[in-house]
Amino acid sequence: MCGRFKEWLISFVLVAISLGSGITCAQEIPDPALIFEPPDETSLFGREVPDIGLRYADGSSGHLSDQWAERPVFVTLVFSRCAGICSPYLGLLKSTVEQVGSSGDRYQMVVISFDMRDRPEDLIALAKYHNLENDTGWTFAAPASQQELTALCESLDFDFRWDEQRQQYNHPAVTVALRAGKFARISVGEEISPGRFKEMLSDARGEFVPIYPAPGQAAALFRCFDYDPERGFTPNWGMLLLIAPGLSALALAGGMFFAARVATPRPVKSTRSE
Amino acid sequence: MSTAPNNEASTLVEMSPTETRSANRLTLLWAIVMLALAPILVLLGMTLRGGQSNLLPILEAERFYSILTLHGLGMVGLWFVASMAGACALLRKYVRLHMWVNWVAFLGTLLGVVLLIVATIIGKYGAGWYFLYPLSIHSSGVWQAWVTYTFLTSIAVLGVAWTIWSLDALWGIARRYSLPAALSWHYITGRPGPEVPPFILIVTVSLIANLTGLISAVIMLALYALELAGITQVSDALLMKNLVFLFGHIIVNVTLYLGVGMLYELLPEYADRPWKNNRWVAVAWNTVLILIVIAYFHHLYMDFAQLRVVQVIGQISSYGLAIPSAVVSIYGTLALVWRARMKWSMASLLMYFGVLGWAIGGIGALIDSTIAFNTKFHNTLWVPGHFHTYFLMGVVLMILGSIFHLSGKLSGVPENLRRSRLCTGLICVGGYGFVLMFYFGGAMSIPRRYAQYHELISVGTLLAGTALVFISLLFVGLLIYIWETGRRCAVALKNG
Repeated sequence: MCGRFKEWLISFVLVAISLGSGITCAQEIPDPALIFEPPDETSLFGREVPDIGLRYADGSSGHLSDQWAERPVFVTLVFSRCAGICSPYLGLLKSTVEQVGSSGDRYQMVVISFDMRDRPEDLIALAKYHNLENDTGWTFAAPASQQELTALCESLDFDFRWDEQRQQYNHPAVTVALRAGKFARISVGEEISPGRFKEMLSDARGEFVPIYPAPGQAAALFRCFDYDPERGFTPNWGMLLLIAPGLSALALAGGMFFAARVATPRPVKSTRSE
Repeated sequence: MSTAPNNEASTLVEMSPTETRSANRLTLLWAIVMLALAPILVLLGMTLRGGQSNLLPILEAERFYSILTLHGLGMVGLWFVASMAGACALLRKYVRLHMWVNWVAFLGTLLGVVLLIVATIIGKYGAGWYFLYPLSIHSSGVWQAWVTYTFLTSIAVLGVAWTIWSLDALWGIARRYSLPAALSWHYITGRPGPEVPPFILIVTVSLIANLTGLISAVIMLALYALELAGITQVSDALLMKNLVFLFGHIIVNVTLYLGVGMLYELLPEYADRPWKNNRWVAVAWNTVLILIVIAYFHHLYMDFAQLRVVQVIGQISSYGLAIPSAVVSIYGTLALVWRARMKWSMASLLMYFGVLGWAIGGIGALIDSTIAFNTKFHNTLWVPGHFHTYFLMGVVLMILGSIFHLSGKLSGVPENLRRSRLCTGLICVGGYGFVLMFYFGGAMSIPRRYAQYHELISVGTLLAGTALVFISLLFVGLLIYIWETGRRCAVALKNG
């Protein structure tokens, strides 16, 4: 019950933030220098991500490769002082991960701060806020140095701008799926549905993902198959279009032979002996 | 010197002298169009290999692909109409066909070819003979919108003309035979029934299959029309690819089967033995009718979105389609020729070597239709290797042989056997040398459809140059054939 209330609350906060930012945007002319460029998935495919050093929330240190050594990782870039999207986004992500399950087993969630001011105690506070501090499927960390942070962000085309007026970073909400240190998939700027998350996971695990809907395009009138990660393949009406020519040709030929039989007496008299 | 034998069974359909003259004239016109277009399309192919070999000036990529499109579609269309024209000429022995329909097919084909030439040579349409969606209508500025419309109109014109032609031929058969008789089911069941020549069985199977392909083309063109008219925003690329290969695979196979049908009809005249229908022939060709519609799935092995079970069906049906018809026909050819008093003229030699090409190319095709091999050979030169073998060295030789036979019979001009053997030798040596370079390229993973080869795969350049030498030999042989057959056609036309 408490969890359901929390989901509602997070959703409400997200909507409020969206509305608020919309109203703000309507009132103010945004500074072009503060508008970030969201990453483009197609230009990221297969790109290698640097094995940066990490400072973990528990005070220990290591490398990003420690995370992807055994399983794919989902990297989420946030910062603890974010007054905007970061915390609600993490809440939604947690909800999705709980629905999909197997975190820490088939994949690892890695939350990395892109604010060099974030210390381990800031990260543990963020984890505690979401009740994830003891979840082995989640890792909270910050880059070991500014150079490593820059290298990571550049490798993912992650664009964030410091807004001096608000004392906040302008940034997209992204989650990146990595497979053995290489980019596999990205989700930008919206809640990740469990279906979408599974699709990203399948890609990151190198499993076969048969069909992707073309983003932003209306669906085709007829398709061979539909694909849903939950239900798998389902034939679409388009399949009938592949069967129709054969059946039509047979029907047409049958009809012609029938019509000819009605219209014409059989002239062939000779018979083949058995 | 010898002449084509004329000891065939008596004509079952009585035609008036005017009808006969009109039908013969149209057959000869088809032959002349074929003789005119074939060397042009071969020269286009030589231009492609010449460009790849660096022996000819480098073609800009857009020009290369527009030539590739015209060469591919032109060859597929040319040999389809040649096989249809030849089959109709032989079909008139058994059934009555409408002359006006043949004229519609002839004029429709000419119009379609003109539009195709305009779209490719003037408009630089370069989406390939299978014009895969979305490239077919989204040119990224390489060709203009009118070119797309011209190209699709040419396909529509050809499709309509050939559909009417196929329906008329099928109607002619239907007026003489019932469907079970035309498909020789009484040979399978052993029940009494009319004597059905294997030629009728093969043509019936081919025409029904052809209608399947043509209907799929109609559906595909309708989907294109909906999108171009703005009624739909997008089409499903996988569906469009399925439809185009259902059409393309069938039309190529029907060309082959009609060529084989002519072989069944004509080769016995040179062997002085009949080639009768029997249970195994009937089973084999009825199997073809069932499997031809699903074997095309082997063209989509690389389409990861296609269901796996469909891919497996593609492999099984490819084997099921090829083996019965090929084995029965190849075995039948060998049995017919074995210890027969064969008259080895240009016609019989070309038909016999056509069966050889079908067998060799068929094995190459079967290898490529095996999923495990296809993952290695797909989009390498192996693909043009096998289809040039069963097409150029298979069905084209059967058609050339059949047309030489028909032109000789209609003109009465005696054959110069020495020249015939020289011609056949040049075509075979040149043809097999040419396709061998494709096979070598495929074995070395040289990709197909490259306008230029990168230095990492520079062996492709060498192979293209070598192929050009061989294809030149074939071209000389083809010119001799055109001379020999052309003058027979001219004499026959002159004699009325």
